[in-house]
Amino acid sequence: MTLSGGSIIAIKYKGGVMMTADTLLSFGRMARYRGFSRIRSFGDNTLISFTGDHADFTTLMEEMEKEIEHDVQQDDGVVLNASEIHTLLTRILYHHRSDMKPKWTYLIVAGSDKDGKSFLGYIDLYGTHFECDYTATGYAEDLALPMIRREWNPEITEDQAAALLQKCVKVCVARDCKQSSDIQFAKVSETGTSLSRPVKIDCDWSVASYKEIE
Amino acid sequence: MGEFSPYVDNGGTTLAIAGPDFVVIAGDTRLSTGYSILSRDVSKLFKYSDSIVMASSGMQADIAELRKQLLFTIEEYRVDNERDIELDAFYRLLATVLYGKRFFPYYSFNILAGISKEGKGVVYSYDAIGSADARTYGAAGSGQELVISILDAALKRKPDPLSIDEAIELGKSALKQATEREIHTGDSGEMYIIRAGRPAEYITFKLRKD
Repeated sequence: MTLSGGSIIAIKYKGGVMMTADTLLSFGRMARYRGFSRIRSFGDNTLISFTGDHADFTTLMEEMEKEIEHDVQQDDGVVLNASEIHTLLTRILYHHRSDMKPKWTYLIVAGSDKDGKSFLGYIDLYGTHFECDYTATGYAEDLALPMIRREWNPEITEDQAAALLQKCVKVCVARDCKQSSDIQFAKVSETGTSLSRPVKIDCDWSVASYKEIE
Repeated sequence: MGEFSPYVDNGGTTLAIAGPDFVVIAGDTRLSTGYSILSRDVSKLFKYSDSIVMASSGMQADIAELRKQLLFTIEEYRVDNERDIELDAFYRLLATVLYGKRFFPYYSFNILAGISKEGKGVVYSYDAIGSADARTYGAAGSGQELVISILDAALKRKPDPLSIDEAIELGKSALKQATEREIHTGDSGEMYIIRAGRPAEYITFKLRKD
């Protein structure tokens, strides 16, 4: 058994991409480390977040750092955008699965593409990859995606996006036993990336029926 | 712990129908694993030239890799021969690339559609390891059995030659029928209509999203 991270939810909004993840690393069903940031900002305009094996993700990021360092040494002014980082990570993950040594992670990459348009991409341990307007991994795939499909549209504002994510996370906290209520929000837009400090989602447990039985 | 399986089935259905001087090739755009839909908008069609389109279903990651390998090779062909690759050569190329991975196959089921040197519409149908033959129509993927039955009934003993409008409607309707009964197929459909001496035309159509 290893340390693993839970759900991620990410959506595009008018002017950027917003993403949310809890700050828990689980060891099986034990809540092993709290306060761990599963969203990483990469370069100055890309966010990468993971569900799955923490050690594999760390190794992947080391591989990526090497690639970036190689790029920097070229000294040609080329900086990878989120779309390119998404492709690079896809190739790395597909390579490892073809080697029969998969990196057990589901990744969400957010940022912008070469034209400066918002980018949101998904990759899994097999190398399955695609671009999308919204996506979720882990239990949030079942819990949050239907809610997003119902409410999302391309004109959604930043505030509306934040409210939607908040609503989705609340359901995840209530239903996913491995979801922590300490949540991080992150966004990436023209002005760069920003990562919030962990915030507490307060769920109203007074509605729970065990209160009645007491 | 069980051994890691490097394969996933991402589902989806593709088909192609050839006529005297045209060919249509279509597929749905759903990407799924098991019971969950990963995306409703991932293409199974890939256009290599004005008259060569490949439709692939199976494992999306393997298909992406296969397309990339083919693109490398046809670019090399273009540089070496100073002309674009033609359908008969591409047919052999795809078979060879697939068989080259005989002992760790690409999990992909491909249909190739194009116009032959004689100006006739041709469909080639492949298995995962490159066994292929020329047909007048074909289907592949998770809705293969449903689609092929519909195409058999419509085309096998058809007395008069197939018109292009008939082929387009048959292709669309066969995919729609598969979507009714097969959960890995749906969301939206796309189709290339390839006529002799003309660049391929691209159309999309709606499918059930449930």
